[in-house]
Amino acid sequence: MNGIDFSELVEMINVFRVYVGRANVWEQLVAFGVVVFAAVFLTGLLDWLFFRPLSQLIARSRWGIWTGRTLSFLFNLVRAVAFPVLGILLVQALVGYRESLDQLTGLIERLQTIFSTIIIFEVLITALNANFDEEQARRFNRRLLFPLLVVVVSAQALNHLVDIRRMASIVVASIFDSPLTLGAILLATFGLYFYTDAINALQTFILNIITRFTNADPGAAEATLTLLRYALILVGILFVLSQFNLNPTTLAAVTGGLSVGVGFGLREILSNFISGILLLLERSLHPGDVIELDGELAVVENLSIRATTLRTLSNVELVVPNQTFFTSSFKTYTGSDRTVGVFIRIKTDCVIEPPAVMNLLCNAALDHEDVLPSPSPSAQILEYANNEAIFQLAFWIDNPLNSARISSEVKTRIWHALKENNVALPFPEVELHFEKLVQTLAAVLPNTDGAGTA
Amino acid sequence: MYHSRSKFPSIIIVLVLFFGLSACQSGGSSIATTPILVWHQYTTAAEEAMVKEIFADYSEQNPNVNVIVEAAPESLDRYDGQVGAGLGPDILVGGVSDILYEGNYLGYWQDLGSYDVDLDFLLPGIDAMLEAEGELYALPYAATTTVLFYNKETVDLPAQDLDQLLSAANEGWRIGIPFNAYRALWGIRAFNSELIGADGSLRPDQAFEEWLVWIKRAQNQPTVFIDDSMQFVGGQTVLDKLFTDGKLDYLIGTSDLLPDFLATLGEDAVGAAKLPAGVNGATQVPPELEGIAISTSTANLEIALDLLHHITDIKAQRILARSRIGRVPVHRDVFIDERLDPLEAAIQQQLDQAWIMPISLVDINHPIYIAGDRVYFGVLSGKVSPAEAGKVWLEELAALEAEEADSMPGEEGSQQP
Repeated sequence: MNGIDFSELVEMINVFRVYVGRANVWEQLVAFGVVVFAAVFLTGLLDWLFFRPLSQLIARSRWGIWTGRTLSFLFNLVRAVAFPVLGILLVQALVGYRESLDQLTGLIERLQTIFSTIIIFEVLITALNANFDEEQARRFNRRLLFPLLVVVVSAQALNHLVDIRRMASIVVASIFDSPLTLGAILLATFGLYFYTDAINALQTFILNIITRFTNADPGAAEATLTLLRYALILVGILFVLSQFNLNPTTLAAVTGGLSVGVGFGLREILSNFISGILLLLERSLHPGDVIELDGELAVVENLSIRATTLRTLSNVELVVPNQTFFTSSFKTYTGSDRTVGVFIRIKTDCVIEPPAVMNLLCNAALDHEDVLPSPSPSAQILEYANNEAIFQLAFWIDNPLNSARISSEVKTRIWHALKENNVALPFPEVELHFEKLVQTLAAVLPNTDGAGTA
Repeated sequence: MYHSRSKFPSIIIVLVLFFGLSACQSGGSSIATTPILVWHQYTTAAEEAMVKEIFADYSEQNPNVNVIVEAAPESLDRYDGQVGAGLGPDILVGGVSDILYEGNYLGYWQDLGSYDVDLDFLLPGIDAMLEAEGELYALPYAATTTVLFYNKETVDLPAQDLDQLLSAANEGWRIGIPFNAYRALWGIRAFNSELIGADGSLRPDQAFEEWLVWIKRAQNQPTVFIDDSMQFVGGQTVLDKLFTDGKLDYLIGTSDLLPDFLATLGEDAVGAAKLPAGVNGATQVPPELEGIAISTSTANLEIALDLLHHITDIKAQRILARSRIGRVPVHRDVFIDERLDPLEAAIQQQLDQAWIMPISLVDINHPIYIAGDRVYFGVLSGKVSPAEAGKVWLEELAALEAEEADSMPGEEGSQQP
């Protein structure tokens, strides 16, 4: 890599110095700042006087679902755009005032585009809040929309002071005789960040639509979309690489270096990467699947290219490298069929005939709303022992995660059913024989009736 | 529910503070050099090199001043936006008519008349072209004019007058004549017409009719190419392209085409001469002045004024004279020797015969020329006879002015002169 040439950048900084050293530029910036503060103040006032009371009123009102949602959306929208709209109105007033004094207004008018941009983002954010759950909306705001807004607004502001296109074309370094421009670096960092996040958001958006409006299997849809997402990200990365203007010799050198790195240090990462692709292609694992790994039941939360995220019943997230699913066995309860059998062993006394008991057991299971009617519950007698009969009840549920709860509830129902039909749940019977002890005691103890033995 | 609303004002406040702090830093700068921004409107490398050389010379003499020379934005929107926002240059170097009529009425440029600017160095008559509305917005330092270019590989001695030019066409020389109302002003003066008065009024006369009769005769020559469209293809008009391709022997064109012709045809093939003489001797043409204007936004007025003097002093004017970009100095003491540089000398000789007209009339977008284009097209196509052309021109101009008045009700007071 050659030395970095900052001369172009220094010249642009000097131009920037020329601009910000000017009284009329400074006047316009201060005037714009005053507009912003005034807009903030007025928005706060408006919020306090109008929006908050109205918000409470809407919350207390009893509307139909759709009317309520529409009103709520419109209210949130108006509330969200209040600041930028007030900003634009104030800017217009300021421009009119300065024009009447024959003062320059171009910068103020151009900065007005910032308010317009904020309006667009506010509409997007409001739509996001209305259509996604709170956690998703928060994530999109935090990771995508807000950073994007900061970048766009900063670029808009800077574009008036420096020529952004020229800035992007500044060559900051040379890699193997290929010029590396500032624009390419920004594209590879900010550009790629926003691109991948936008793809993620798009995936979630499409998935939401699929799950809401179609009967498609959400897990399969998510797996397909995940695969598509990685393909699009790969296209993005290739595009960014193309912006680096690497010549074929350079590319060969870089690829050669990478292959050595892959051969040694990156072997595990590559293995997980390929395993991830295979998992998605084979569709042997979907988000939402219930699996048992190392004896622990967990739900597949997310399939990514390197690792799979599982959530256990105790709400702990497990991040499992993808190759684990190819190098060790795991049990899946939802592979091709989500139906899972639950087996309960019951001991009763032998008072009632076994068919009657089996009938009671099956009915107790069938009465439970989460027990599937088909396949129907069945009961068998396993053995007789110690004046008791041992039965096994088998029934089917469609959510393995609920097996413990349903099992417990069915057992409770069985207890009540048996009690109503006078069937006892036998306690273990133990006969104690004290013959030797009595003889010994009789020998050593004096006669209790006063005669004694000694 | 998540609200990021409160963050938006903070972004703007941070930006304003950022610019403010930058301004404070600049105001109390500990950096030794003062940056000053110059925009120029040139497009070729030779032109840009000339401007940079002149300002580099200034920086050498004044090491505490960092003159940043940049090309003005090509996009008119960006240009207007930047200058109108106070984010234009401290100094603009470019066409005087552009500086005056695309910016002065918006208050972009300083009235140099209030700074005791010396105009005595100018060629005689040039100073009469500078003022607009009683104010001086630019100081000229260079001029372009219209000359007769010829191909030295085919033409030994260029035509000296209009009759010789027609005779050359008769003999098979290929001649290109741009023919719209602005580019063919030379023809009006070649016949000594007083068609356009100093006050911008149209006065059709017999001489104007004779000029049109001459152009109709030329049109009948198979080797005369008359272009009334002036459409640009790949940055060149059709006639310019024919000349650079060696398919024309003569071309009447503006002197700023010289760098292009030299670059494509080579030094040995390009010749330039004064325009063919008219009925009463030398043919006059209004020069287009290039000058320097100072922004009303500048924070370094003294340096800007100093640069103004620098670019018009005799040393900088000599740099311009030897730059061979088809512009000649407007300094009366800079003489280009024909033996050393016949091309630039021919341009300077043509400039000596300048048709002095108010700067408001040296604007290709003036309604007179827009109306005139329709008349010239009518003459070439035979729809308008040379005898009735003057009358039609007056009617077209009146109709155009009526259209403009209708389209801008209540704005008459703010119209350009």
